[in-house]
Amino acid sequence: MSTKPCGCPDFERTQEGVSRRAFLSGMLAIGGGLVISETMGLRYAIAATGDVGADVIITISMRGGMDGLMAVPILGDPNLARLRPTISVIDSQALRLDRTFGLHPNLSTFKSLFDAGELAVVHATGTPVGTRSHFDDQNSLELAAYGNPGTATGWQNRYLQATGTTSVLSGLAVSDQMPVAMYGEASTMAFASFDDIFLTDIEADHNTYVDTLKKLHARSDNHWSRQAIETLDAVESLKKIKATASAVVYPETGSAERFKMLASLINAGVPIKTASIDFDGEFDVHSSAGVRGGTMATNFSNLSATIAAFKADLGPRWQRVTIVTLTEFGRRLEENASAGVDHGWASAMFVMGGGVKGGQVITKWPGLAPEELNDGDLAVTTDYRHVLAEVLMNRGGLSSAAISAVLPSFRPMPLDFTRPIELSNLTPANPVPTQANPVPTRANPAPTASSRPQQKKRVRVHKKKLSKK
Amino acid sequence: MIFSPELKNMIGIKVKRPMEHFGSVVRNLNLQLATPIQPGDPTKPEDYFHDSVMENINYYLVAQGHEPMAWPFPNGFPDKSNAWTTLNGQMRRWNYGVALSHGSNDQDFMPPNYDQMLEGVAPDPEKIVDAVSMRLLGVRLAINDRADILPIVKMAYDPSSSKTKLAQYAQTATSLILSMPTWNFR
Repeated sequence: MSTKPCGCPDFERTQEGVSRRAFLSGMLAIGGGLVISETMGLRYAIAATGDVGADVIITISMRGGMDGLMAVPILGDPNLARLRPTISVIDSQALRLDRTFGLHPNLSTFKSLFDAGELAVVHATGTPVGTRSHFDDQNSLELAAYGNPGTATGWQNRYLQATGTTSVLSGLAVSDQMPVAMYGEASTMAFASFDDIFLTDIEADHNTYVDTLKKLHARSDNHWSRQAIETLDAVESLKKIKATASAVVYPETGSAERFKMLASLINAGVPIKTASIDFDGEFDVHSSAGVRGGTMATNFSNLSATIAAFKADLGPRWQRVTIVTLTEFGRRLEENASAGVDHGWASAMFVMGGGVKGGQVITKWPGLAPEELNDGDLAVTTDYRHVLAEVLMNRGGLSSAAISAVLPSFRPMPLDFTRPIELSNLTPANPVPTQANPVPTRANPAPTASSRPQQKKRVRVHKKKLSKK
Repeated sequence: MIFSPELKNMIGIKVKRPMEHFGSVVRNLNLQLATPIQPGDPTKPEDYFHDSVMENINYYLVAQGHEPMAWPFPNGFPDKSNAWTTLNGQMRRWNYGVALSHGSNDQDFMPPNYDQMLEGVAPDPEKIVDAVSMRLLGVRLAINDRADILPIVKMAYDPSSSKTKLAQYAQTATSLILSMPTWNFR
């Protein structure tokens, strides 16, 4: 990258941290996938993917505020060309998705997935409340509990609780620090490298040491102690998974190393239900955005190559993962004097995986004319929680009643970008009853998949709106 | 405030952040740097850290997501256990506690001087567990915790080791007490 994005001191600090963490993770990560022996008898060695379970729901966080119009530009829009004379994708270079939208030319993997029907775009999407603050919006995006100010748990943790899972590796943050989305009572794990997770022995034999550590934590009823026991169990299990070389070549980035580790865990049959992973791009491009060559071009190139490697590494298990990209906000429409763009509101989300009804850009397009903007920003017309809700219901197996426990005070609307998964054994959800979503009774049964509202409320596809203009 | 339920309910909720954990271990074991921090310009971290103990300490903290001077706005690094209760973080604390208490991190710190620290304590596992507990926690261990730790401490003595019997018992007792939840809470 030729020029470091700047102009936003608060994010720059964390970005430096992420970059260094990424570097360290890269140094630490082992270079191999994992296999699991059939004779291990591991508690965690069930085949979670590929038979009775739901998809592995993976979120990729684009921290810093990824601009949706750089990733998925609207083609031929005079406002975009006028307001971003130096940092918009040139129409002729965009990878055309349909007659209206294109992709950044470096997102070639995404184009292939789109064409194969495995990637959908949701555009003009974002948080219901935008503050343009990285940390406020990251926090609220991961809590996903708008209108519930006392909530301290993250949506991914509530998802785990709703599925009734008790497996220690059900929720995995491929990170050194637990993200807010994973906060909560359901057991979750965070580690960025296998090298970080093995216990140094002391004078006693290993099993005695482990048992003693467990005893020392068993008498305390608090999150730290409960998790410590889970940690010891998980590590003992992971130790039995042999590292083997993965034939897939990933880009040499910290993000790619973490995707590689995640792939090896999924391939080993570790029963991950949801995982969170940060993509270490520099998206906070207040200056020198480098859309046509530079920062954003490199971001997209790395992202594309990483996803390509991840898909190849997963092989057939790709069919049982659903990946959702998230960012706290997009950027303002008009570029600034430093050839960058400042914090805005709406962005674009990518959803990909074997169960995605791809090949479509779903949006209620708000338009880019001055009167159509929200204080200079692309307006949010699709709450990001609609995307999460559909993924969790169709690919995570949650009922619409259960979704209210994961996304409180929110009424999801189907966007129809995923196929419902066939679940035979998934534990029904145990939703926390709310006034809006009371406990289902015989007289007032919970909606089933077949009784969910169909396409009447579906977000209108952009072409209809555009054709009127 | 002291008598408020909110304060009381914080017990077990807030944990030492990695830097605090590291600092408390170093101070309580009175660890001394193996080599002095070299002079240099701290505003040029690449030069300042190179081949320095600071580089390893920084690495340890960054690997747990607690990079010095890189606090997130607006509230800084969290102190709730949820944020730091990670598989990586817990494992690193236990392992680093073992390394520092056993003096195996001697490129960064001199081994703890248990003979000086516990001067006058008989080289008896029970007495040493009590003495280490008093030093680290300020109280004797609960009966059950003490009973769990003692068998391992009793295994610690190796006549062929160059360390004294007291030091061998003490390093094991120290590493186990450092691994306890009590040590990690704020």
